[in-house]
Amino acid sequence: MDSLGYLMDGFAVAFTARNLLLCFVGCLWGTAVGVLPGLGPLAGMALLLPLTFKLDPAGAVIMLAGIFNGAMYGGSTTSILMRIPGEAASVVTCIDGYEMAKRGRAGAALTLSAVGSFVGGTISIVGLMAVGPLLADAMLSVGPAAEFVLMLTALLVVSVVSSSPPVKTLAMIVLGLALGTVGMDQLTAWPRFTFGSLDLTDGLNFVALSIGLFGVSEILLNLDEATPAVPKAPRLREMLPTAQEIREAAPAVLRGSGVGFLFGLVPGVSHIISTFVSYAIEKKISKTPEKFGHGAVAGVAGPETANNATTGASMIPLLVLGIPAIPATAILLSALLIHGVQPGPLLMSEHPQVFWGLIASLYLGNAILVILNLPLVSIFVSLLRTPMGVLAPLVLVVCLIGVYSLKASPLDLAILVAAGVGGYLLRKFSYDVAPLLLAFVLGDRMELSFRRALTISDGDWWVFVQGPAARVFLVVLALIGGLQLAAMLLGWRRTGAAAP
Amino acid sequence: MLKGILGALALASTALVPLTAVAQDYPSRPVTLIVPAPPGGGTDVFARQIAEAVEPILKQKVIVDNRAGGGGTVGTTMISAAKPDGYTLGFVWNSPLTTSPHSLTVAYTPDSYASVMSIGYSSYVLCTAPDFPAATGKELIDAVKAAPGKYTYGNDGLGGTMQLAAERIFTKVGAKVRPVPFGGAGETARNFLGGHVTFYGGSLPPILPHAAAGKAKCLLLTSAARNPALPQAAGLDDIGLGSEETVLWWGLIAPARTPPEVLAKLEKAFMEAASTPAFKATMEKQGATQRVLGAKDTGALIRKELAALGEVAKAIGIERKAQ
Amino acid sequence: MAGLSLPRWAGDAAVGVALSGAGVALAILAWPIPRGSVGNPGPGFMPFVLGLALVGLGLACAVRALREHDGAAVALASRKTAVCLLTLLAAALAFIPLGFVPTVAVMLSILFAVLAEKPWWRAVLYGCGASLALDAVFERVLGLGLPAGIWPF
Repeated sequence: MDSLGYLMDGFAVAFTARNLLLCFVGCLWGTAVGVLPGLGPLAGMALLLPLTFKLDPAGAVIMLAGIFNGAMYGGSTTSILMRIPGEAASVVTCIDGYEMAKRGRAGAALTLSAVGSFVGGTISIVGLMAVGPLLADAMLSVGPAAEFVLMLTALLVVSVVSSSPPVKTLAMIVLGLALGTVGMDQLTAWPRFTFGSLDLTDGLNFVALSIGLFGVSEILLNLDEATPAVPKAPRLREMLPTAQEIREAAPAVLRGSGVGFLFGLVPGVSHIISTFVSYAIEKKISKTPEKFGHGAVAGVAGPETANNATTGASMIPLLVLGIPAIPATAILLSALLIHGVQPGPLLMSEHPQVFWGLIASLYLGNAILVILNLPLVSIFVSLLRTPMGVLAPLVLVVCLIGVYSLKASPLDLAILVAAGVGGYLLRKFSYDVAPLLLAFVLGDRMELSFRRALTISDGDWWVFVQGPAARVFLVVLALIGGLQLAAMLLGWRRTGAAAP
Repeated sequence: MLKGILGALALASTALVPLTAVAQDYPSRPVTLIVPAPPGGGTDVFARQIAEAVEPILKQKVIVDNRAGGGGTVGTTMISAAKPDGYTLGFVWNSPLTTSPHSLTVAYTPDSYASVMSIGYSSYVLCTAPDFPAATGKELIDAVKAAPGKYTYGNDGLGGTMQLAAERIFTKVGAKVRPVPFGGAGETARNFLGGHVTFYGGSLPPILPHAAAGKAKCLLLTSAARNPALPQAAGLDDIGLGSEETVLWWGLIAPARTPPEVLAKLEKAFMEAASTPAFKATMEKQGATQRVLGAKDTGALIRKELAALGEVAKAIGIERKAQ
Repeated sequence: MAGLSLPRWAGDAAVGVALSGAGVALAILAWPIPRGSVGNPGPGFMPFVLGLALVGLGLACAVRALREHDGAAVALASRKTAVCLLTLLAAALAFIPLGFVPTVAVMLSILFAVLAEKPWWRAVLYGCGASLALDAVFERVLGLGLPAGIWPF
């Protein structure tokens, strides 16, 4: 096969001492920014972008892709240990990862995340090579109308698997959507609920909101307990996953790879959708769905794998079409453009060393990261030996730093505290905040694609059922809706039967 | 105690040294260049390139500080409110200066900042699918005039420079094309290639490879002149609308009351840095055209563009909202 | 432990009522924004609809809470939680004007004293030490640029 030969050339590019070093530095830095709450792949890549101006194009993308991948690996660490999402993609991991940590399985959760990430990352690069161009064309057929239906489906999927009662979940989704409307409306330039603040024209800051809702609220909740259930540091021999855990994780990892790869093509919000969908699938098909929310292994392994599979898939629109679908690949694009390399249909023939060098370095980066992360597990887990009264204040400081470092905005710090209080009150009375966060992320794009579709169709609502992509998603939507309805009816009958 | 007072007096007197003396040894410490855009975009790339090119001329470090938000208005507000000592400058693109003030309540006017120089511009372009019944810019205009409200064009956001650039042309020729705003040129390109909008409207780089691969037919630029990267696309001069040019351009601004000597020094240094062939090549790699203007020309450009785009915005019903 | 204790259903219902209150506020704030038409929704359309939906769902949550009257009690805002929250709020407000090192030194001193129940002099010692160490790690090693404020270094 031709591309195998090219790939070998790619490895020759990636394996030069300098590019190897760049890949390693990128992975290391990416892990560091991924672990820090607040700083995600985007900030991590942006911070080192100026450095890459002095490198050759292949070296530049190799390093940046390393950061991207590294941040995705590192993102799960604080989710599992402290219930603080390192970035949007690890929001889901907070749910069962942290529960595992509470049960003394932090080491296993981190190990499974790293291994799952490796598998997902590797599978998605194989997929990228095999069906990349094909999928890119499929992605183009997703216009605003289909995008809207797709996001609606994602929200429905999540509401189905949420741990709180349906009416509370719905309320949280609506609240999230409402919070998402703050900021300047892109279609009319109307500043909504900004009260004259230019800071607010970009909307509420997701990072501040997520760290507040998950991390800060967790600390506040723990302080109310006389003997809080905080994560326990496992003993050394309990660090690795048990055979039972591996059995539960393996199929979830495979499914997560598929889900993550497919959803990597969703523009803009791919990582958060793919992780939520993976979680939903795992919970739905699990034989023990009651374990979810209480430290289910599949609920960590699946989404964490999906997360990294998405990273590989998100390269497809960039490399094949020259169009970044998510902000992180937009940075890769500008790193290439500054060297006069224009990704797109002609990239493979015009700059094979960049294309194949990048692909090879993605394989390599995944290998480096899994090797780098496994020893780190024991270091991170040992943090849990710090008593809660000392660890919690330090975590709060790191939260402040993370949020501040994004935009140096006093408003974001206020949002962090407000979200912390809000999350504390909501969670105290068992309102699940995960759907809120997902709705917040999707809300903005959902409304835009809804209105864009209507602009394009000139007010004709049939646009939402036209086109192949929209139809596919509609079938999925109907399927899930139908299944859920059936489950509800069955559930009623069952409880009805059980009642005396 | 007396020593303390004397020390304080000495400190105060150094602070009061006449501005000219300060201006002479300006810059004596690193200069901060505020960029109101996130890292990685075109504006940021040019800012970093010119910062690097100007360092040896000014013999000082120039530190790029990204302050994104509000379509550039947050960072621009910071620049105009900064201490006018020449140590805080701003590298901006034209949108926060001449476009945003029509839709947002901003805390600056052309009087709150001094324009120092500008480096060049990049045109926007309108492209169609290969099977669209038009082969030239002229035919494109005729086609949209013949079918008012039938076609759609994707743009970078309502009230944004790209949309105003296009509407400026459409209003002039009396055509109506329905705008569909997207999050940026990349998103517009994706929706255009998928056939969800009739025209691509946006900057050159995202569409160039697809034009080269025959997936897009680029017919009309929003600059007066043609662009060598897209030889088939007409410039506005070709259809007799040269005076309606609206392009994306980049320049250096400083807080309004920066000492004139400092401004003159900066103008000279940055113009020198931007005029080199190396910098020209950098700009061309990003699909932009080098056109170095001094303080006077840049200032005139800003005021003229602000007025012209204000009229377009009013004509298509965009107005500053109260909130 | 000081703090509130209230029946679960009352708190649950209160959150529901608060959510509907937020919905009312949203709808009122969204009212002046143009809502457009069914075929061409304006910028005020979605916020208004969401506001109304939130009113309904909030009330539904409250009603549900009233029906699930199980007599369980919930402890709220213990002394530690209150101290932690107020300290965090003060630190968030002082973070930029006062700068990283002074703000965090005070914040950590208070929290170490209250949450970890250390004697005050050790809490202050640890607090100051930790704030300098964190400053060194983030500012010097990672080069993140923390707020300088009144801290001279």
